[in-house]
Amino acid sequence: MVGRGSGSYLSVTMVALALVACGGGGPTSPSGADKLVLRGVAVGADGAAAAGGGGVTAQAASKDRITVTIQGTSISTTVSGNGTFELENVPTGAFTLVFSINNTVIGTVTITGVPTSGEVKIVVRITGTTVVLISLEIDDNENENEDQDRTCIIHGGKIGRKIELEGNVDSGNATTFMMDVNGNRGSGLVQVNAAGAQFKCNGDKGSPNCKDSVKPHAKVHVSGTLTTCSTSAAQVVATEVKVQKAEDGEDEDDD
Amino acid sequence: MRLAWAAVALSLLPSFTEAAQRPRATGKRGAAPAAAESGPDVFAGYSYTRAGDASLNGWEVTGAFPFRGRLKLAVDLSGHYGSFAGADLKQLTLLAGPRQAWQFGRLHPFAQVMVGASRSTTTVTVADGTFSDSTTGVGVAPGGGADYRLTGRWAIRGQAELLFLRAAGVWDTDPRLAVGAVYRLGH
Repeated sequence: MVGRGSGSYLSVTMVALALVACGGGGPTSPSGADKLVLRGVAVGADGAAAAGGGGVTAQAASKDRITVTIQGTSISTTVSGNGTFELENVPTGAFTLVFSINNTVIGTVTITGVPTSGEVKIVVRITGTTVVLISLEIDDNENENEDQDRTCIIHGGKIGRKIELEGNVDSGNATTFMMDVNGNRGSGLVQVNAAGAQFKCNGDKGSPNCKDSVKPHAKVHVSGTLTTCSTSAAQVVATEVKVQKAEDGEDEDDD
Repeated sequence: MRLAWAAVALSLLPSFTEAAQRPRATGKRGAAPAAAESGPDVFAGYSYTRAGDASLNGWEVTGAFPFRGRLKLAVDLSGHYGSFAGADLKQLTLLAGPRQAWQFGRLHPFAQVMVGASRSTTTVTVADGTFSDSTTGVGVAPGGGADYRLTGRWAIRGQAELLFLRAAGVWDTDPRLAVGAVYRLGH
């Protein structure tokens, strides 16, 4: 017994190590059926295209710890050194994340359409004074909330998911514009936030004047993330806007 | 996670206690060549870490070189990878420090304290490009583990450390676990 004791204890140790290593608490493992968890990453302002390199993290940019709090609650956490943060038991429906450094608010991000359980994944870019939402994804445990389909003016649109829309600019400019979605897919105007989007013009890719052609009646194809949606309005954060036909090319009203 | 750490600690504890009660009771059956025990060894294996809020998996390679009795200098290089909230994370860590080892039959527990640096890279790919940020932190990692000798040269190892990492104005406490094979280089 004595002679075999250390071997058996070692076996227990190895099993424990393996169990922990194989996924306890990992981000991909389910975190409880009824839990709603927010997992986020904050990248710094200089985190430009990888080819540029030389970026710094949000903390490095601020040199102080960044705190993330859900507005109106005591739910709060600190962004870790590698930019990750996690909040558990976040409110359902909608909530606002408040980012602050040394108790000074540097920005907020509002998330709507939050299910009762599942996971909210967000990536934000932080400068010393601003917070910009880069991506948002909501995975619910409720097996595709079909009610959401019926309460969204965009057929098949799901909040937090990527979306592709085609239609005509109704009003606004390259920063923010209202879009009339083609066909039966949309039953109202969709607000497109294109401040951080890449613009492409047909036959003139990468033209510096491409943004100027985003005017009423221009035909556009928008790729991005659906951030809010109701029976009367929807908002998309665009990552790419393709101008398929400028306003001059009228008569291309697809209605 | 804390429960798992407690399980690791508890499972190691009886080994130490039991061995301490029979300090020189190592049988001939388990005796290792003295030169091999006091010589350098190399470890390679799988490693897991909890970096910030992300669980990362990867590899770990360690070389340990004797310099005084059972005291060795350990140099540890590891790479951990994973994804979190849609971002890809990578962490490369280089640590070095003293390691004290004991021998109880086939079991060779050790304790160590290492210091070093860690480079974390976060990459986010969106439709219009890729964002990549990096930061370097410094830290200290106390920990320990045990080798279980299979042959004169080969052993398996389980080890655990707690890396206190100061990166970009924040102290993170990141547990690290590793399992793998050890090869002893002594004559």
